[in-house]
Amino acid sequence: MLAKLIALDLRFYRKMLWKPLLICLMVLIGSIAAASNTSFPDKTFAGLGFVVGTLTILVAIGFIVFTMVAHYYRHFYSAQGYLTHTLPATPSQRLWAKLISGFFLHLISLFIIFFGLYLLTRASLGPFYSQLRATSIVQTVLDYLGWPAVFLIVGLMLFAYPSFFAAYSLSISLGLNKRLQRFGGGGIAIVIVGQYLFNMFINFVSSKIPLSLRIYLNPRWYKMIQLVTERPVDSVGGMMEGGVMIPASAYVDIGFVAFMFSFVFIVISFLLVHRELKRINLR
Amino acid sequence: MNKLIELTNVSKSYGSARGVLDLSFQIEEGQITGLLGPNGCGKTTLIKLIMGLLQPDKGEILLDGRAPRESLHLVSYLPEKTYLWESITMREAFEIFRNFYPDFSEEKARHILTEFQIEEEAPLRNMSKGMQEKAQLSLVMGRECLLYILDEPMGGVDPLSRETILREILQNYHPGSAMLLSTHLVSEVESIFERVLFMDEGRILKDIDVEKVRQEENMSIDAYFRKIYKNKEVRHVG
Repeated sequence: MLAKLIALDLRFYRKMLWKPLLICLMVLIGSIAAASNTSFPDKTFAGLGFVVGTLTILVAIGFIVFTMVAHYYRHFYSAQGYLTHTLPATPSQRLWAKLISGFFLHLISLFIIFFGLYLLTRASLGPFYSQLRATSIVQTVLDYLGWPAVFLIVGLMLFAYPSFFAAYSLSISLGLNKRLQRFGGGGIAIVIVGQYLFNMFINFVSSKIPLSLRIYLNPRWYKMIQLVTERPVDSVGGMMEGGVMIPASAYVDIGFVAFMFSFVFIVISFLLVHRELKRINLR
Repeated sequence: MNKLIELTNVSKSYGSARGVLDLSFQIEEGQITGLLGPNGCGKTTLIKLIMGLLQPDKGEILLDGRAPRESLHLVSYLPEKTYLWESITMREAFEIFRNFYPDFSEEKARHILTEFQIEEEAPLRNMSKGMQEKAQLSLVMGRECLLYILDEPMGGVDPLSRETILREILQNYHPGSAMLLSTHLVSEVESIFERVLFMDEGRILKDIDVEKVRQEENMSIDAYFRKIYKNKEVRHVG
């Protein structure tokens, strides 16, 4: 049943997205062509291509995010909910289907961002790109970061999805529950503001507690991640030592409490949303 | 007889607004029951409670002896709203129903759609409100299940179409199943009912055996309906 629900969600996404994404792709191809055009005496045209291309990528991501959120709302809380909630599936299957199908969209977003920006950058750099390749600058950056750091960055990008899903599913489901649905869309706004204030509070508390997760920008410097009994620094630390700049020892601190809360929030949100779906009240 | 729907002291309110009050009744298999009453009397609320789309403030609802959520596969439900989306074609809707309901007969649904003269490839947005209702009805009646729950199946259609809809409901209703049909258009549908629940102000005014009323009162259900709502002889059975 879960697979069928995921297939149903993907069908919706495909229907909602193929036209806008196709238009974005065409504009992006045009932008890449413009960005790579070096026949003009100045670089205005190429620069414009790069800007339009970047904006197109942002618009495409905007469409995807909108589709994800709008689909969640429509499928559960609009007239479509009369079909969704009467399909022979459990509330948890319905929720998991949304989470998993949305993850596919998240992967597509990441692909569009990285591949689109790569092509745009490559086109706008023109012949300079070959020089960069010849000097192996990318390899140098990779060597500096190391593969564990690359995996960490990829992990954070993937982690962004459940975090985002938790935020919007909780906002919609709690904002339209029995108590708050009398405010209409205002209920959703109340939950969003509540979440924001609670996050601010957690971040404030976390910044005062001497417990941080220290992530070294160069993973070969001591360890990549370390739990330290210090309050998180405001910006990148460890750059200077005795007046000498040591970029290899640079690190960023994340308040441990805030970090753990982001995990706990996902779990709590999932449980709350599941409870709301179990006792749905479609007006 | 197996009890397919069982309500015990079910109440539901929307804040200060009334929904349904202390309802208790049972519907057994093989029974076609009409849920009649004026607009706003609580018919749709009651059906949504049975389908698990609303949660009761108090009381218990059982579908085939289990919580509504656990028995959804047994029920074919036609809501008062259009739950299909604008861009969907009926061919796609058939595919979705085939995927989710093993008891869905595409052949039967296609036949009903043909009777309604609706094209399978036309998107829903190109259909009138009445055609959309008929299209949804073809999906609902295309299933062969234990219980059909139809909420105002003729609400937005012309009198001629009502006849067609009624004929299709009767022809495609699976024998042995139960049906709960809500409507405020009593005269058009009264011929199909074996039992009628009259609702008013969230309560059940009367729970009657249709044949008995016809014989004893010597009047149609429509006339009886008018009589009881005129006199408001409230005898709550719920």
